[in-house]
Amino acid sequence: MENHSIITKGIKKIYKKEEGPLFPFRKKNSEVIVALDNVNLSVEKGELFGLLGPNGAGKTTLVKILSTLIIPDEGTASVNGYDILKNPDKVRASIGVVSSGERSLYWKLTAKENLEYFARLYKVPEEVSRKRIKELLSMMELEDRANELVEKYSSGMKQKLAIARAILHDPEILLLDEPTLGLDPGFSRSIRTFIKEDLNKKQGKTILLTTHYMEEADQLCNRIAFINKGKIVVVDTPEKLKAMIGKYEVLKVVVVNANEEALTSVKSLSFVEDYNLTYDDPTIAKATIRLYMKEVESNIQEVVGVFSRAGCKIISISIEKPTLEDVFVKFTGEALGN
Amino acid sequence: MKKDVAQNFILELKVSTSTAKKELLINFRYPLWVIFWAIMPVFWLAPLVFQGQALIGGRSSTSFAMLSGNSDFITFNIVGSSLYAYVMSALWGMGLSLRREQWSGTLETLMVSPCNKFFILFGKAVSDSMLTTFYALVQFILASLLFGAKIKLENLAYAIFVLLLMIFALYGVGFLLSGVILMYKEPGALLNFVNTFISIICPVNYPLKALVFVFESIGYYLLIAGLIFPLTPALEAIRALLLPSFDPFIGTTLALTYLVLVSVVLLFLGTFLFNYAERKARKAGTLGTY
Repeated sequence: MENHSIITKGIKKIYKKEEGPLFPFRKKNSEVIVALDNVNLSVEKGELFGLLGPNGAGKTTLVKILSTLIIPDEGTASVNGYDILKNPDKVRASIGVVSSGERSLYWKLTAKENLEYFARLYKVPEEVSRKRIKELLSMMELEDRANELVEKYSSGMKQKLAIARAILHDPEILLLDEPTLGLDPGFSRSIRTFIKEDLNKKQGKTILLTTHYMEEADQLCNRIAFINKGKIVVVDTPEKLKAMIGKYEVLKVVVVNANEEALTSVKSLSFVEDYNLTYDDPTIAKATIRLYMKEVESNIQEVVGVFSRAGCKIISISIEKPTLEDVFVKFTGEALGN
Repeated sequence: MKKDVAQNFILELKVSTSTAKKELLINFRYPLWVIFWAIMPVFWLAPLVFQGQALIGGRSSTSFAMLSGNSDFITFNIVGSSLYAYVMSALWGMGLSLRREQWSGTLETLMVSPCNKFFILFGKAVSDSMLTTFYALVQFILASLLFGAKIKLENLAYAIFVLLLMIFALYGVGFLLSGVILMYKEPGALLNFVNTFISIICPVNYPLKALVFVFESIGYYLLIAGLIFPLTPALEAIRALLLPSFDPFIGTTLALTYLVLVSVVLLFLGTFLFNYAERKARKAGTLGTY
């Protein structure tokens, strides 16, 4: 247990949508959404742990529970050895949170003013914070624009500043909720490198990162938990996760005029172990079908024949190594992008 | 141990001063709003002054003097309007500022910090008071220049002391409303209702005695309701201190004692309700939702 920075025990969170004619005086619960269901996880000290799942899977709710912003309905968690329900202030002092990205900053303040303010909230002594703010602004390559209002920054710069704010008090644990969401590829790359190389490897920080980008999780994380509909589906290293379907290869076929006959026939082929279908353009029935099978090369002709006989036009066909997305599909039957 | 507690208290106080500084910086980065709030209330007062002068044919009224001891209704109104700025600030300042943090996305960042949230709220209250004092001063000076005001300057220090007591009591109201806004989110209707109700029951623009003598039986109920709100005793005491020959409905000592008591009760109630609302919002998962 001492080796673990984060442990969750049976966390459950239910949201009730309340409405009624005289809201807020008379309420009735019309809809119940199970955001998290019996979540048990443990993150080791110094680990970069990924929580991978589609939008609405429960990733943000879990981060908010761990950061004490939401109180769970059942279960609890310990962060840096402190119980989130019994010692919330000690938990808050141990963590740095990047959530809501650029919106977590005051746009009408400069970068320096933002950091100075948050240093006071985290009770960092002034002489320490002065030095630390200078260091962080230089580390994030923002020192030249430190006295400019944040509203004039690009999204990537704001996200960098949000990360600087989160590590200002040098916390042992970082909770990063979709840290590269909406950023251009250049900024995403530099933020990923900073997270992996500086924060995790050099500074030894324990990081819980949520994402719905499988490449990000694959590239950065020591271990990954798949989360879907509030439940943890599987936890392992990216390599082991991929090895779970590693004996299979993926035949990716993009067709136009995808129809029921083609799909039924291709599913029933004896060598097809599993498949996943995504419609790219429903108006022309353009679909991407990923077929999981062994010895792809010797079976390609038969697959092509099935689609041709059913009147589908094949746009492209390729053999791919299984990705984390394929593992996710295999475990949940759903694609990450959904 | 004692040293740690003292050190922590100093750090928490710095949370308040930094919050106040942050709020003032952001406010002054919208200079047109600052000018608006400093000047506009004087123009809101103008129709009242013009109407009064048209009705009584000057600035002195014998019936007004019968009810307040002071015949100069213009100075009476200038003092009332300047103090009312603090009520507007308590109603619309702190709670709406929290709501703005919620809209802009910074509220969760504040709530995830390890400091005591009371000190954040207190910082917001202090910045509101500083801004309001600036607005009230500008209003008072402008209104005095435009309409003329005759006050007893020798009691100014005592009047400022009463004003400070009222400000503390209003902090309690601000905390209370912040809690309500955190729970129910949509503050507009509630605040407008409270705002209008206060302007009816508190003697901002009329002498307190008028409630009883003019409105008779219903006036007693309005009078009792008005006395509950800290603005009423503060207005009575400050007018007694600043206006020549003002005859207060409640004595200054009684008003002061009441203000001290109501400050304590409102601050306690406000803090309690805010903490309750914060916990409720954390349970419902609505701290960051619009």
